[in-house]
Amino acid sequence: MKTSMFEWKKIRRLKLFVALAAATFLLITGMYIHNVVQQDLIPAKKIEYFSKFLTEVSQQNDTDQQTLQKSEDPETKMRLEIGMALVGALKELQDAIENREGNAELSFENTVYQIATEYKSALGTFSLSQKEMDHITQVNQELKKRNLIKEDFDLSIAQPLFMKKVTHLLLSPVGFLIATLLIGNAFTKEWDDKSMQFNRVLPVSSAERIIGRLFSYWLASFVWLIIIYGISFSLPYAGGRTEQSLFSYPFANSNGQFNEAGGLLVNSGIYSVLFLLFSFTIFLLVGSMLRNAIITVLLVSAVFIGGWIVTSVGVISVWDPFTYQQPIQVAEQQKSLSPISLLILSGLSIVGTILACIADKRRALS
Amino acid sequence: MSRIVIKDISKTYKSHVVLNSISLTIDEAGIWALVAPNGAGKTTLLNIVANLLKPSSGKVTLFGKTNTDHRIFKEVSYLQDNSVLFDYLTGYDHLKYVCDVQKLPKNRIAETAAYVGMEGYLKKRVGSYSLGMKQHLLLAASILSKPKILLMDEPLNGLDPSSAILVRNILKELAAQGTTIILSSHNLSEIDRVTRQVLFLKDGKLLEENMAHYEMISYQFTMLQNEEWETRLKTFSFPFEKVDKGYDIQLAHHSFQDLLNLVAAATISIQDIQKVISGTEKRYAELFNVREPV
Repeated sequence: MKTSMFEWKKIRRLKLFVALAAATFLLITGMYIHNVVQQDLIPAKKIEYFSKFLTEVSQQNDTDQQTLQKSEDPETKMRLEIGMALVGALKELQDAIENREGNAELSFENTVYQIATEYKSALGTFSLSQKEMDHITQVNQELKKRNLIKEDFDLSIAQPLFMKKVTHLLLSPVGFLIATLLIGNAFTKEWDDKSMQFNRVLPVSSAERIIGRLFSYWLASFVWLIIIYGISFSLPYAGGRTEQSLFSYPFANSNGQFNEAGGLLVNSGIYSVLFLLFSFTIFLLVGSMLRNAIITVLLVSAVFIGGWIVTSVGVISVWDPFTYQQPIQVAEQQKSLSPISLLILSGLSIVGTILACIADKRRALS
Repeated sequence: MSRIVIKDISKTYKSHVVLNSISLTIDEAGIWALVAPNGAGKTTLLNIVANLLKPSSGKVTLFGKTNTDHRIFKEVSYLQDNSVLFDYLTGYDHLKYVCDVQKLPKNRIAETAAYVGMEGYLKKRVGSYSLGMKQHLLLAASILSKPKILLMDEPLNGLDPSSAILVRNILKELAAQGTTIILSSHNLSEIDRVTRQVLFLKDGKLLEENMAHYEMISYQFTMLQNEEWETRLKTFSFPFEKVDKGYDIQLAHHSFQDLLNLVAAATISIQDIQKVISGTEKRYAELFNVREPV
């Protein structure tokens, strides 16, 4: 405990942690201000999106009309009828978007996809796949069930959506690596400036040293997580988008299951806390073995980036600890918190800590 | 039980032998000075005793326990080079941590800071300290727990004369209270002021010697230089050396009374006389083939 308090003091006095906290605050605030400024553009963006389909279908309708003027063709006639209905539905949808009628927007959008399905079966051109349309329809139905309106995932200032966007950005491979290196700087710095030797001539065991450090780094990262969650929660709250029901906003995963925003945020927070523990364990283990700041930073970065590349190319497994570098994605893929995931991260952290204690036993100087 | 037992310690860097089968046993309190030219292995030896460095062979036991046991540091302190301090922490932070891990009462911090004279800058960042202030902090950290064994690597480095006197007095006091001190230093005159027991490190070997056998007493006369006085000294065969403020006069085969008689017979005005005991420097010069001033 005494070692932890000393390490915590070092982290605070080194100012890198303060810089991390300040940068996090500024980034989240900047994102929020950006989103607030962009609010008026959301309907325009949506209208523009559906305009592409409108143009596409209108062009097909014109072609079909020209074809029908030349000769009678029942298939073309049927497609034109559906196409005309689709254009009408798309216009109604755009009107609903423009008038900010959230519930009507959902209904009209579903109608659009319903007609578009028929249109596609009549060999009409509509550039969304059937799978995509089914997925959006399903999401819209879930939103209607919950009496929620459709949000823009990138620009929303609604509490849980903004929080999800922020956590997606910061609780990511880059965010975790930066946090690990900045907080862990108190450790690697000691080998370079020799201050490690101060601690090594005191009655402190290797286990106390490693666990003390680990606990204080974890505490610092916990504070960082509180800053991320706290600010991304508080800013929309101050801005007025605080409806409690928003925390039940549905997010569909690739298996077609729905997770609520609140649950996703809690689960990704838990995975982040455990991944940071694992991350600092790796950092302490590598640092205790190599005892060189630059090589430790390079090697830990390489390990983390390698782990990220492996998961990015699609090798995602609950057994791979580096999968949890993207906790929100992992949480999205799971219906609930996975005991295996918790076991993997905490188990590997314990093993890593034991190995770090053994590596730390080696004498200070070689 | 022996306090310090160094048994057959060797340390080799590639093909360079720094320490060659060194053995030493210290059973009692007192001050031992470790003397050698730069690069001869003084810090290496102290680092090995403090378990910061692994010897190529041999073993060290302190109070019967192997030095790899971290618990020995409840009774052993090591004053290292000032680079071990955390520049971004305050002096108080360092002492507070030592106090916490040694399970000492908080008032020891203020007591020790006052003892070494660092209350004025205790709460300032170490990065803003001068070399002497850092030495004070290292000293305070190393004596905070009142250790039974105190290893000191160049404790007099960067100290002004008043601080050097303070450190000297602290060392004598600790030794009198039962602490075994091994200190390395290049300041041979300071060594002569605190101990007769010197460990010379030469060609990787440790020579333990008592400087009483090499002791040389001289008197520093603070006075105006005077040709007649020099002639008298030469006539009566007193070896002397001209220094800035006057003369350093050795007794050689004479007694102090002989010197006083010479002073009484001369018409000279003396501002001050100081007794200087020097043996380490003489022995050092012999051991390491240093040409002494004529």
